[in-house]
Amino acid sequence: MNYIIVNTSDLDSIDFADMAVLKDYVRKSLDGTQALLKYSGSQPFSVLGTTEYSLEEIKPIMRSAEWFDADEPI
Amino acid sequence: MSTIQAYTDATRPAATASNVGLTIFNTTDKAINVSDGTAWREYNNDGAAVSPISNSYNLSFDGNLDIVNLGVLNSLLDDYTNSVSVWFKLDSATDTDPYHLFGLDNASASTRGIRVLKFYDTGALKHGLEFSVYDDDSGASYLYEQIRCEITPDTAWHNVVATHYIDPSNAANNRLKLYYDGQELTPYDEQAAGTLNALAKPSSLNYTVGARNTTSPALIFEGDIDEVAFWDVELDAANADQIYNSLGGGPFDLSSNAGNYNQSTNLKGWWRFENNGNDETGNSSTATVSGASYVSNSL
Repeated sequence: MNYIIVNTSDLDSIDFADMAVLKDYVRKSLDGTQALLKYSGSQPFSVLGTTEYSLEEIKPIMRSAEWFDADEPI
Repeated sequence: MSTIQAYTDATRPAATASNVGLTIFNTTDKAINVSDGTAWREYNNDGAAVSPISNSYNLSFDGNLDIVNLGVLNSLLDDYTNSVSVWFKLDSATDTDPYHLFGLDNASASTRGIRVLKFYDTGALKHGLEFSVYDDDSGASYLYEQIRCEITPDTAWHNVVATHYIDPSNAANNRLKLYYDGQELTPYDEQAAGTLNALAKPSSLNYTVGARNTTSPALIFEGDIDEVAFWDVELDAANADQIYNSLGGGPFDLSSNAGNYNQSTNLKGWWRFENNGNDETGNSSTATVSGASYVSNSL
């Protein structure tokens, strides 16, 4: 599985038929400006050229302060 | 051939100094009970072997954005007593992130309904399971009861059964229990807010598995989940033990009574994730799976 980060404002232009996640369920950064997507295989046309991350590469990004509030009550 | 006298919880005699060593069979718990002179000591049944059901897939969660939406379950949940069963397998035995196993899709601290988490208690320095039940807002705002039980995490499959009974007329009767692999856990922490009303059932909120908050998933599980089910009754210890089915080697057909499992008629939702999100009971709509992958089953 490959991961990409896109601007939330670009979600409407992405073909979610090529994605392994549903449009209404994407994870957003804490400020809501970015969204995390994933897909299998080669990069879909609608997101061509976007920086691609492996699972191991995306994990530390998802734990960064932009995406993860360690103090959020569970 | 001799037999042991059978009683129920209600009909067995009091354990007193005059009957130390008296041994009976308790048909309520399906267990041997022995009087120690002041109380009954229970030697629990070890389940009955029930053939496991064919199980080809489970759901794999990557810990980043995966979530399953079971839909609004309000009409299927009882106001005061329910039970939930989830099989799960952690990717890491040491991860301290909180994981949402089953609960309402809500990121706020209120209206959580029923919720089961795997978490790490940074105060008590324990890995544990947390089970909470939130009431509606008809009395004081969103009261809840919660128990936390310690577990020793590993990367094997485990079954958790959470059961609750809420008595709106007498909080002293309220019961929340967690069973882990068929055995009831002793809570190390309990929160009781007082007299609870009916279960919180926000009409617009879905129940989710593997993460909460469909609009931006959080508390995202990392590992595998399978065979999620709930009942609108409080399952007893014998049922919880049978659901784990240690002698039979894994999950069995919950839609049929077998062994010590006798609650098939009260099964209200059962998602097997056999390469689809179907509710095998037919009571609710198909679960929506986003991100999580169906993988060949190791359960």
